[in-house]
Amino acid sequence: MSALNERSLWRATWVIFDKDLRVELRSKETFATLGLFGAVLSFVFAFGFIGDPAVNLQVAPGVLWAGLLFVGALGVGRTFAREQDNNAFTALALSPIPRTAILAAKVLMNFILTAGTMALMTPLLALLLHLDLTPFALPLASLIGLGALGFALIGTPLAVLAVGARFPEVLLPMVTFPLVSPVLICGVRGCAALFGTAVDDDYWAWAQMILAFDLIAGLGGFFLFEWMVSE
Amino acid sequence: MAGSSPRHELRVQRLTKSFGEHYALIELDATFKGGEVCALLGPNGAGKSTLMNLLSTLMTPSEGELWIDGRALSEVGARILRGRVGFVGHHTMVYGALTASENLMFFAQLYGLSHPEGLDQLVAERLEEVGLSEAARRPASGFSRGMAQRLSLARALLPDPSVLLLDEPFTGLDQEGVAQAEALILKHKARGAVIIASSHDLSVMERISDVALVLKRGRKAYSGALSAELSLAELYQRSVA
Repeated sequence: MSALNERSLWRATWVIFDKDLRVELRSKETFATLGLFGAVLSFVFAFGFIGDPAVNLQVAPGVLWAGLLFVGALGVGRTFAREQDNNAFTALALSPIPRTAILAAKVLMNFILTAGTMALMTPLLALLLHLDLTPFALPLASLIGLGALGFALIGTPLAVLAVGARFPEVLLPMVTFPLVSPVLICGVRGCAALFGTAVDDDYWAWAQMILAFDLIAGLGGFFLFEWMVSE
Repeated sequence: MAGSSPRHELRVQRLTKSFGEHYALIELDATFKGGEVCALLGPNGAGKSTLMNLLSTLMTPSEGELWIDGRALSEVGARILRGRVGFVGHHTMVYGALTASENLMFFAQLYGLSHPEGLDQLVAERLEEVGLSEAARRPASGFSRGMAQRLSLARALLPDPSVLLLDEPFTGLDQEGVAQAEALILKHKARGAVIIASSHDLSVMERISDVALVLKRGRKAYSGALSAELSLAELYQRSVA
């Protein structure tokens, strides 16, 4: 990629991200929806699994990553919601920017929304399940952050397929969930290793696997996005 | 005809677009000259929107080539052409959550535009041209269809395009809005822009058009200048009969 292309990619990414962030800060629509959804999920999980803290610690990895799955799916489903109003996506696709800039801005926004919601949901879950997760705060945040990034990298390019589809709310989870399952599995196993509920497991190895998956998904998405928009 | 000499030219050669077994456009050859308004006409399903989408690079042709100012699109690159095209479509393509000014500023930044007095001035000028100065700070979600259509026209004209593609540009506009849109189209025609417009309002099309391209089932049914003897409606009827 030439220096000129790189400059226009970053500039366009920033312009689109800035627009999305400004609209979100003004309406707080998506973040409020995700936050409320995350809180409700936390209470449902807490009342479903509440028991001995030692048992809670064993179910916590599954609960956390199920939460990320639902929150991420909801966020990814809203990716192009504003572009679908009045078909604004067409105007975006018609502008002389590298189309990967659209993807980069949307991935960034989805990552912030999902990671932000999980940053609120995780302490709430810990509180409701009577768990002290403070000793694991940093590695747990990095695992969940990598997971949120993976979800955004996989789900965001797929969300463009749902633009103009007849049943986008059905189509998107159908194609996203199978592809994101390796991230979820690694995340659950990584958390279990971190909490010490899985024997002979190394948290860092699972984190590296998520990172590798993020890189593969990211590269795939960026290479295919132009074609996906055109077709 | 425009008094100024044509500066831009768009040419399509054996342009074909198929969707599986269905051919929406079949081996179309046409030249669109700058400083002329071409009325693109045809019954529903004739291939008008497909042609617009191909010319704007929203779609890629199944076969054939597109030339802009004598250079093939494959040589120029779709991104360069996109920067030179203004497009008004069936939908207004405006962001309801943004104000009229913010909508134009967003696209001005994406197009990398500049103005000696700053982008704010450019946006203000474009809003004034379409009669939306008073509504500049209002969210577009509260706009009527006509106001949103004006904003859509302002967005399309923002980069002073070499090619202006107008698919039903007068939808929702009141008489004043139609007159403003007509004046803007003629202004860009005088600049030497290639203008291709499609509308079911043949009376307006007759006023602004110099040439016509009539499509029927994906093929060219007529291409040429409008004649003094035949109204556009009659020319259209004869072509698609």
